[in-house]
Amino acid sequence: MTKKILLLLLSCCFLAASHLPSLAAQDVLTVACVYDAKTLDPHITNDTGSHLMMRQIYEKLVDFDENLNVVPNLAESWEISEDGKTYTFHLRRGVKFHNGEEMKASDVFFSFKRMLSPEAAAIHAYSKVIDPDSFKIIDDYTIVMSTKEPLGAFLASMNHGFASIVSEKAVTEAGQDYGVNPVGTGAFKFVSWAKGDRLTLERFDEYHGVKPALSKMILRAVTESTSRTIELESGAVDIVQDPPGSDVNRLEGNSGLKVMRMPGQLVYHMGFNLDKAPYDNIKVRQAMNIAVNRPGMAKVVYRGNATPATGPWTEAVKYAVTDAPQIAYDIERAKQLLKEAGYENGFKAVIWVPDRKEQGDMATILQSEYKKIGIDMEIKVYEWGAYIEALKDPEHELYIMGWSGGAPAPDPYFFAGPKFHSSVVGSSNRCRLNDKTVDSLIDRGAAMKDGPEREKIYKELYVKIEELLPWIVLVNPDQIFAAKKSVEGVDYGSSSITYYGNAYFK
Amino acid sequence: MFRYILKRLLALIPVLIGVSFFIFSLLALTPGDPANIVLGADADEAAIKIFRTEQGLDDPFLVRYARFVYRAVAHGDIGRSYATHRPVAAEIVTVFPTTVKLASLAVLTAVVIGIPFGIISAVKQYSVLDSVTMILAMVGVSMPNFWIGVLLILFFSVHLGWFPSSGFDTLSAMILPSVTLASNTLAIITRMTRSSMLEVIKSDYIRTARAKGQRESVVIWKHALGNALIPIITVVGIQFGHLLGGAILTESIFSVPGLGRLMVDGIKSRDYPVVQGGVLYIALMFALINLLVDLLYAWVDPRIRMRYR
Repeated sequence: MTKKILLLLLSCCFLAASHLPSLAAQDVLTVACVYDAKTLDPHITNDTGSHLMMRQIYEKLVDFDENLNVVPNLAESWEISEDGKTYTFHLRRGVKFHNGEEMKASDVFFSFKRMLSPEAAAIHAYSKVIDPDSFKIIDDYTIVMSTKEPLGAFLASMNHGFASIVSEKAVTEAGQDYGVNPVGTGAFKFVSWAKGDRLTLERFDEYHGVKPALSKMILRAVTESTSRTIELESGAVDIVQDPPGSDVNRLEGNSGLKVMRMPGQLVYHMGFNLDKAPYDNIKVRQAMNIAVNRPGMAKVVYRGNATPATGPWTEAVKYAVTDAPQIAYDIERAKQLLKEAGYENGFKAVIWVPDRKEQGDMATILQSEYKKIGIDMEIKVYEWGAYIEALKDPEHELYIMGWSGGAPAPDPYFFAGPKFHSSVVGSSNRCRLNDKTVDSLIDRGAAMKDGPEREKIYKELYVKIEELLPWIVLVNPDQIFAAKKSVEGVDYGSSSITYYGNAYFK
Repeated sequence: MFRYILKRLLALIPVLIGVSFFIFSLLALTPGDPANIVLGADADEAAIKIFRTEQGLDDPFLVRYARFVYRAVAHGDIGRSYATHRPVAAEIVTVFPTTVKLASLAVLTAVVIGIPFGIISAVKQYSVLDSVTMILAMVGVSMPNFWIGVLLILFFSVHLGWFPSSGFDTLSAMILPSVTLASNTLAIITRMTRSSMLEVIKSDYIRTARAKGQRESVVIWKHALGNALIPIITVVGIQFGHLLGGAILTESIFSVPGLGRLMVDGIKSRDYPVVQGGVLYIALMFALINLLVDLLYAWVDPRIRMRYR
């Protein structure tokens, strides 16, 4: 009998111990992510959740340094032709895929061809600039390709996951199951993926770069935001992305944890339908612009974990205007402007928002602010899918959207192009801005090589957009991470798609 | 008996056709373009066109439905997920074991606790134990799942640190979600057992059994429970069928990668093939469980068994 009780006690101890963090030197990193990946095939999806996980497995021809300069990665060096269209890439030798194959020009060719196939429609927005008939394999380590138009930000754009290099052999062998059997060249290779739960990776010993300190990386999808914080507090995970604003203060008070706040690229804005009265009147837009208490909004909606927006794009984007002044909050002046515009008695407005809490809160705040200047604003809430569809219809008046323009690279071209160029009115240009100067500035900057001249053009674009006011910018939420104090080495800042491979435990 | 089963299985065909047509129409009526969600809100028009052509989304509704039925019947192919490009059947097979595990654990918990408590409540009607059980059962029926789940996490994960608060990979991780999911079913089963037992206990044959000097435990467990079991089995069956369809809230709270999550993600991202496949699968499960329950009746009740002869 005693034996039995002892046995029972012992097994209880084991059960209890099995989920306690081990005390030995730690080299397994567990990250609680906001989203699960949809697939681990980099060429068939454009969602952040998938690309974050794939960032740990795959590499691209180029990489960014901490200042967002393009540096070599799988391509050791490159030459760009005089007309800025043709690129000759010299590949790094001795790079191994996780399946043991060596990476050769044929794999690069295969990867890029795949990015342009109908199957890859999700990433065509980024890959379409590449000329599908331009590829030339010079030898195993040299490949030439061209863009249809010169694109100054092309190399930078290739740091996005869409340009991941895959192994031809692995893709062909896995067929339709490639998305659950990924093979890359990164420092971590795929072990298993319990969809909706966790992705497990382990160190790839034949990695061509610096050996990581971690032996294993586990990326867990914890979609419920409060569960994410609880997992960190209970010690089950080492890093959490995007803990809810309401939990951040509590986390900061926990002596075993640290909270990192990075200025985000995301710009929440209220867009106008510029084709519709009274929003076609610049005075009305100016009035609505200065009738918003942005610091108050940042405080209420994000509990202070956001900064009041100052311009169409943030400092995280290249050539942004730094130290832009706060936008004034002046109800009297706003009333005056409305009067000048002929709307002394205000008007009725309708704002559309998706069914996401933050955007709903912003709309409610706007509603009460605009009431002060006589605008009676009705809020209509849509489910996300319905929202996107409804906004294609030119019947909308006002809408709230977030735009980070971080994909594929934090470059004004990728930020402004999809939102303000007249060629995409009715699809991604939802404010229906149609302005010759804006178009020409976007196009001229696109073709140029990086440098002071390009900087001048895009700064001009920034000012021009501020002046035209197709959007009222609201807040820039911070990008927040919380981690155990012992976790070091992660660069949280440079991109919204964080690489965790450099982490180590102190 | 065999003919009966065959007849019931054949009756499934119109049910599945009806369900598939219904879900197909619902999806067609739902606003939101799958292309715009799969490719991203800011996808360019050319890419959207390619996607819609590839997926045959520009064809008229009936053409799409006919193609779906044809592929399903002729090739057993219910389509591929827009998001992952994998066959929907494979996607369901991936999450299926988790859902079955969660549903079975929940129903098992509910049955093992609910039936004895229901019996005790009935036998000792109006006792303190009965009142306490019935109050708890009332609370269990009324408390929403997600709230129980959060309370359990707060107490057992955060405060005591006994169980992990999310995931479904180890036995200790399975306990909280199963208990959460079981709570409503448990309350329903307890109440059903009690009322069903009460009805039976008052009948003549129980009095006869007692009169002939049968031991009380045999009277309760054999004579009374045997006859009270039919409505209990019905409830358990319906609940199990229901849980096999995925427990959306519980799965979300505990990050359990089950069918509920797959379906919700599918609906949010307008992944039509996943939603269609998932609903068809749930309908099939429900129908099969119902058939099983009907067969169980026959096993439990000799009177019903006679009718199948």
